[in-house]
Amino acid sequence: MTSVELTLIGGYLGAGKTTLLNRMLSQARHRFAVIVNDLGALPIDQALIESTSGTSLTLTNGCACCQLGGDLASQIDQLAQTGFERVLIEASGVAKMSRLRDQLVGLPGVTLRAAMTLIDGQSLASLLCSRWVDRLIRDQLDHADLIIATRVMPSWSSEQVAWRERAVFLEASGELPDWVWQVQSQVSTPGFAAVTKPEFHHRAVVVRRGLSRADFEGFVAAHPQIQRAKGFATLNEGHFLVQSTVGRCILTPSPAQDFEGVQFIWVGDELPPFAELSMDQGEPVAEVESVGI
Amino acid sequence: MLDVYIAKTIVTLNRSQPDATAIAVRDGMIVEVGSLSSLEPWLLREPHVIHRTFESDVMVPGFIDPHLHPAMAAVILPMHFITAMPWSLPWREVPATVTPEAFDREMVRILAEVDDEITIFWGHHDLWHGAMHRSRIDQLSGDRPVVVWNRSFHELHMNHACMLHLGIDEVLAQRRKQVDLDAGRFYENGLGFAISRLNPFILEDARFRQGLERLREVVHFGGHTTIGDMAVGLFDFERELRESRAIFGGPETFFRVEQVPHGGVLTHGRSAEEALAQLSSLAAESGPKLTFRKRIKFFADGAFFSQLAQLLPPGYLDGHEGEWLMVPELLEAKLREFWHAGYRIHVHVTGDRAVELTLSILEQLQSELPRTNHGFTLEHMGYATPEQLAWAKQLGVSVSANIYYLHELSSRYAEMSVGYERASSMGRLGTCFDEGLITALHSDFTMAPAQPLLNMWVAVNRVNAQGELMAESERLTPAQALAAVTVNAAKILGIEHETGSLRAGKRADVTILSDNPLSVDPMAIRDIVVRGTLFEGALRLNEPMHDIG
Repeated sequence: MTSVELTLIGGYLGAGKTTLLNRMLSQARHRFAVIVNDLGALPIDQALIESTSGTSLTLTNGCACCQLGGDLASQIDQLAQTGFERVLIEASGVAKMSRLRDQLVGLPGVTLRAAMTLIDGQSLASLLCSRWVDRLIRDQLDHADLIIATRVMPSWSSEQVAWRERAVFLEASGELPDWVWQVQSQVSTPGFAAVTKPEFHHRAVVVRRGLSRADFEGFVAAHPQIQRAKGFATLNEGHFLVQSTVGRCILTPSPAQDFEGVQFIWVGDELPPFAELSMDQGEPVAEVESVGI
Repeated sequence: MLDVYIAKTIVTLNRSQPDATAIAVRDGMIVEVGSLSSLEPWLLREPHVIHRTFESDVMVPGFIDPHLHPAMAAVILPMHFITAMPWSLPWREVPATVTPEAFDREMVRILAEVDDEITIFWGHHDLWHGAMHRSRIDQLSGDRPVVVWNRSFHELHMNHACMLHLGIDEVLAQRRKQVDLDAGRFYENGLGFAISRLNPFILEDARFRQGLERLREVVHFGGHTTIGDMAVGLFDFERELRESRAIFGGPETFFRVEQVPHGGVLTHGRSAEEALAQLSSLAAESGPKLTFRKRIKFFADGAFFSQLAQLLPPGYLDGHEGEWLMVPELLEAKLREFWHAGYRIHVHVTGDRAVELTLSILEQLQSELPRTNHGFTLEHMGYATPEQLAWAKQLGVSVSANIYYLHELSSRYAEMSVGYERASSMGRLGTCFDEGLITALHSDFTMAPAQPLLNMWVAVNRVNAQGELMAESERLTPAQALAAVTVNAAKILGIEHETGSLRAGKRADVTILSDNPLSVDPMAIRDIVVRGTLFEGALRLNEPMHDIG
């Protein structure tokens, strides 16, 4: 199986992603490929370009640049098959680093070498107060192995210790320092641990007409994983608006018989046996007036 | 030669003469709307034919859907629909399928009838149809390739035979994120992998053209005389341009297509000058049926169906974040270029945070270059606050809303996404009208059925799929809802001087209905039958009727 080491380069607009990539390509210490958002925006020295084909460039030093296409994993595969062992991905400015990691970490044959988030040190404070991207910027910083400050090193506040400890400053020009090539992922970086939340599931059920009220209430009571039930049902005692919260069922007679269907919300993996409640298989479905997709 | 059509009622949406019974047409243009006696001065002077075929029917201005996606429809329409909601398609009435067992029966029935290379079903939804699984499809069809596409379009399942047919290498596929090979499930990024394999089949020329032809029938069937293609370039700019011209440019198409290019695609990797130059030449070359004008579309936040709308606090129940589709500063820079160039700008906004951003940008642009009648439009507008809508009015903003969200999603989103208060008030159209915003309805087809009467019904009744009345005070009157699918929709596209109401001098675009949506029981609006249309005076009937004249 082919094996690829991935480096993610994230950061908001103006953080210096393109500049860093361009410097890495021109000072390459080994052969690697980059996948970029906009190939046209990468100002590669013409003298360095060996050939161009469609949406990719081959450089004289053996490196390659490709435009991000439809399926990222397929692109990584293709690069691996053409002999690249290292691939850099330039994320879009609005990409969440958490989501990118989630997408790429754990692909067999692919190792995440590092996720780097670039930040313009001068604009950090204002971005963190932005009405639009404050939480995006926090996500990009929280989920980076390495935070690379450009222009200036920000003056970190006391609440930003976790970021400060992972931050390094990068000079705007000159030869790239060794750490750019050596940086390794710290899997235990704070903020990566998945928060376990109860998982809610939902299903709409058209209740069998004429089911007894006691059977309906008994079904809800017998399945404590059902957290909520809401909707309309025609039971033996008439047409009802059904509202149930954690086992407590309230059935209100409802004059409007146009609608049938009860939405159930349950927690955990145990699917309540809805077949006990639902319509007979033979009943024509077109009789249902209107139902949600 | 004048053609004079008599109807039981003609709803003109022309304030000076709201009701009429006769309409006279010459060379595709309305010369007068009134009664046979008021038309006398014309009838004395010109040869004419009086058509009485529709004298027990109702005529309204030709329906306009200002926002749908022909290319996306062309991919989906050749698929076989099995849906929890009834869909009226011109070639088939799709009944509601609401249990897992009924879904399977429907698959078996269709499989017995068709002979597709790959049989693709569309419309599966866990909420009604239970979990899909490769083994479930294998049991129904072991040897024929089958794909079951989710209603949201973000997920599909395929059976073992289909994987073999597409040459999907199990080892390779297993290496993907968001592919569950055992279940045959491909979602999110894994869906991209499945689509890349299915593309040769679903985008194949003949199938794509068949899809566009089917869209033409859908548009006819809904009673439209104008549609807006609200993001030309969604898949492939040149191909969409070429195929749309080929399919919609001919005499068998009884509607016009107002084309609005996808700004992100058009400006990608090139300067504003280059993009503007291309748009100018497209506008100059276009017409008569397919027309580019000074209009452009951009995207702010993620899809409403995927819960990726950007929300102001308190956000989503589970704390997840929406997404931006474009860096906010970049969106501002792009909007600035086209604002200063005098364009009508459409921005896809689904959440209230995206509305806030977009209005903030527009306020800045208005201070740089004040413009009136600029046509700046919020597209979709799932969530917006009352304060934002008052602000929008001050900035001269229009709204083109997908009100079907309310019908389809409000019950589920109350429980699973944002809570009851915000879910019930999605699509605050009553507030839009009270504020005096130009407000239209669209389908975003296939996000909602392309049936203006159905969207009117949702806007007037605000009853969701589970039968709940949601935010009663945001309901529209039938007259407001009719304006929202005709004259207001024409304003959204900037063509209100040509169509959208019935008066002398406008194009003879008329939709013929079995009943009057302004006087029937509001819950019966969606049951009104579309008999046919006049498009620029040319008659097209939905069902064969007696010879006219």
